[in-house]
Amino acid sequence: MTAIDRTTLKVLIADDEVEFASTLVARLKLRKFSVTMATSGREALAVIHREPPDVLVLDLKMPDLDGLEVLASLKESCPDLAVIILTGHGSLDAGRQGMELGVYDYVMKPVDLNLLIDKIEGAFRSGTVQKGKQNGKGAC
Amino acid sequence: MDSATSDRTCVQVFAKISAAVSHEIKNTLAIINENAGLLGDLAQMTEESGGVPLARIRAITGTIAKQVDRSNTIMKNLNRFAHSADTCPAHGDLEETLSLVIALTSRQAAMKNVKTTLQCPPNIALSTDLIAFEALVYLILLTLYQKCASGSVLAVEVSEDLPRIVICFMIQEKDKAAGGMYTDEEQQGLADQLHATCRCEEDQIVMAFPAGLGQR
Repeated sequence: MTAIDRTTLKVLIADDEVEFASTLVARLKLRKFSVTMATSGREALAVIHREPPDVLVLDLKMPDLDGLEVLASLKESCPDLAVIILTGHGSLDAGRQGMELGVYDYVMKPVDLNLLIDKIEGAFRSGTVQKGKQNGKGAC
Repeated sequence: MDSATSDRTCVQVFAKISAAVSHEIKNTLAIINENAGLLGDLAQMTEESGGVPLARIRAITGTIAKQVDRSNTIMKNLNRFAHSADTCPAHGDLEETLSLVIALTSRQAAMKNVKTTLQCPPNIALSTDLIAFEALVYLILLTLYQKCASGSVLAVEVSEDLPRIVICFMIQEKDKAAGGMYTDEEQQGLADQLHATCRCEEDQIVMAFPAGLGQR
């Protein structure tokens, strides 16, 4: 399997728990990923449309727009964007709904970072993101 | 509503509160987990390059301590709520009880960007079916949060109109909530069990409780 150049893999972390998201961003940056964060559904959509990431890591429970609403919006505007959803036990059903909306995978909180990284790289390799880039456009 | 049905409502409220608490604890654990991982990352970096990033380590340990404190408060509130069912009637202080229920709904309020305020005279003692009372207040708050626009204030105000105690739940916002206020069948059933009356107006719900609920 070809190694991924993490410095070119753009990840957006969308979670309203600022201390969680900012620490996760710091840890992913230490591992050479190019990472940004958003702390609400609306902010995530704004960031995505301004500078589309390759992979979105999306919390399901957020104020204003929740994760499922963000997904529904992205289905039309950014069909090639790979999404990994973050969920607690209670939102496992919502996690499954997300899978039906075409997300790449889901991870449970607290997050196993190595597992998340495997999923981010897997999502990037999954083909749709690469296809978008080869066509000269981003995931959106 | 018969007592079995209102008991069922109390169980449902307990379930909702437990689900919200478990979600919040998951979030605090996730933050602690990430910060512990970051400490590990920094330790490895320090081994490789020398020099300890003290300021960063202090910030991380501060974050961990804050989340432990947050978790502790969440579990303390759940524990107090759980013990409300120990006896019936149970005894409590009205201001403390209302503060507890408001704390138990804090995540739902935050998700809607609603601030909840409480004005209650001190030292009003309760002797009632405490868990039913807390369940009723909880359901009213959740209903009103759904009606509030983002940025609203939900004011809970207690006044004494002896021999009754009156609790007013009022939405304060620039744009009025869509539709009038209402209490649903579950809330009305609990109110009946507590011998309370309920009056719904355009921007507030007013509950009045008998003197047995409020004693000095």
